[in-house]
Amino acid sequence: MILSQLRGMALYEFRLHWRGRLLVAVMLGFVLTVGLNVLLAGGNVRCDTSALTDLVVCRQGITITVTAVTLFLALPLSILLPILVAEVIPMDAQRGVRSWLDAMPLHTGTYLLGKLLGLWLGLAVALFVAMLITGALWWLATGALDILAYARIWVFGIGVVSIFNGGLGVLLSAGLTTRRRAILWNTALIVTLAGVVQGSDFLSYLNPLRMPIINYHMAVYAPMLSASPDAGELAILLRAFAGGIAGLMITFCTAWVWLRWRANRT
Amino acid sequence: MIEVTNLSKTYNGSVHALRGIDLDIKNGMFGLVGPNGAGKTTLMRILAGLIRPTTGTVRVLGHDVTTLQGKFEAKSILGYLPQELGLYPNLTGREFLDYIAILKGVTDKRARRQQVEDLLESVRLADAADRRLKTYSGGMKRRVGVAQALLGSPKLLIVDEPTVGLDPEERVRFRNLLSEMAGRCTVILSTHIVEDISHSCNDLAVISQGQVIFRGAPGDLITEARGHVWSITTQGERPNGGLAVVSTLQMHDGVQYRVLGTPEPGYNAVSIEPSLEDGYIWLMRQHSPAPA
Repeated sequence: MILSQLRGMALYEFRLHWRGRLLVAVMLGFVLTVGLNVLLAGGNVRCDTSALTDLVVCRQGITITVTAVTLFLALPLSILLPILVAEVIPMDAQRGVRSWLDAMPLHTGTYLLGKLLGLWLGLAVALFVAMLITGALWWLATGALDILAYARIWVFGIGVVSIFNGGLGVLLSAGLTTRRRAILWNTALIVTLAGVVQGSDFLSYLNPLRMPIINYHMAVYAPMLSASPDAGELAILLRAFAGGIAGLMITFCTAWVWLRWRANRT
Repeated sequence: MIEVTNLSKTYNGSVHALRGIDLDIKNGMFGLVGPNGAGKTTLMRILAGLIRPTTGTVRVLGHDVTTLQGKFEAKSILGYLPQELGLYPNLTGREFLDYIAILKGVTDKRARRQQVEDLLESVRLADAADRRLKTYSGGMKRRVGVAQALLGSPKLLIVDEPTVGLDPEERVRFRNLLSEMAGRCTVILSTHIVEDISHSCNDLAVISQGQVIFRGAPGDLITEARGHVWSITTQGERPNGGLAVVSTLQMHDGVQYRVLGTPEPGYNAVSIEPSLEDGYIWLMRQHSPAPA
């Protein structure tokens, strides 16, 4: 029954996000950011050379540009994500949905996980569509795009950042009962952590912009480094992932305990 | 079926919503009636496992709803329609009911679809089933709420002010639907509309200021007012002398009042048979604090 509930919640939450249009806004935000950069870059990023050595160098240059622009998407994401996650649990309370939802045979953990899965599914689809559209834009603008490198930066870069930060936002606003409060809370969190935690080795893994992940990709694709990451760079990425997963798990448990305690106290 | 013992609920340490309620509810349809603020919704929410009582015990079909495990067990056999129902505006009626059925644990897709279709038919929403909920009128939303409460074949159905916002025809249809359900499960109907109770319940309790002030059959409540209901016709002046006016009817030869109390001899009052509403108002008068 729990699996069926999770599946149902994920699918219906996904449908609700999609129809709520905020996911479309996230997608459009990505496409517009990339489109604007493509326009600004103009013909400067085209590889119109026939010499093989020149082509390789040119492609590396394009990959660096594409990577920088793609990671820049963390900015529209950090603006839109607080609004998106505020729709998940706080809106249930604001709309009065909790009045009947709490009378369902639904465990707190199932509720939280179902909500998370729905948001992640929505984000994954929005990111995938945005990746295809922006990929086509880059292809048309440059004429030579390293597709593997491009997919990697989306999946292990902005994709992971969205999933981690989206999940954290949902869990951290689980106890809030209005959309406005949740938006303010998540925005404050992003601004505070992005501004204050910067530079601190351990705390930077808490950064909602996921600086370790972004730094990793920048390092890999920086001109002075080779296209294949060395062991040290990979370790940074793994630590960033581990930090993200651990952060999610701790926040999940905290939100679960908080909601159970509150349900038992009411 | 449902045993409530010495149940009290106090909000913020000072607002006493319920004061030592004892109730034993059997199968069939049970009516809970009382004025606004009497504590009906608080009692319904405790029975549905949504809030904890301050003191006392509640057992729903053998499950103690004051414990987490008991609450969960009780919820799996419960259908609940809250007073104010929030919906997902971007889902259609059919999708919403399907979602609820999944949450209620109806895992078989075919059975779920069948239940949803049957209920859409029962609440006359089949034609609007594929419209988004944000386009529904207040009455239609209420009917969706009714349908969601009936999903999953509950053994206990708790409905809090269910007929608010329904037109007379829908109200009659809904009462019939509840009566049908009462043949299969226990139905607890909370309302301040006495008419809803009189047409469907064979057992009721009247609650006022957090206490049960009457418990019995509708006929017993009617008996309480027997000998105290009168018809008085005047040329327009309102009867006084501590009488409670239940209804006023303009006639061609004056104004006919239906009153409760003991009229003065000059009124030429005619004793009439009380209704359930008369019984309820009489009871409330007996229990209302005397004016200073």
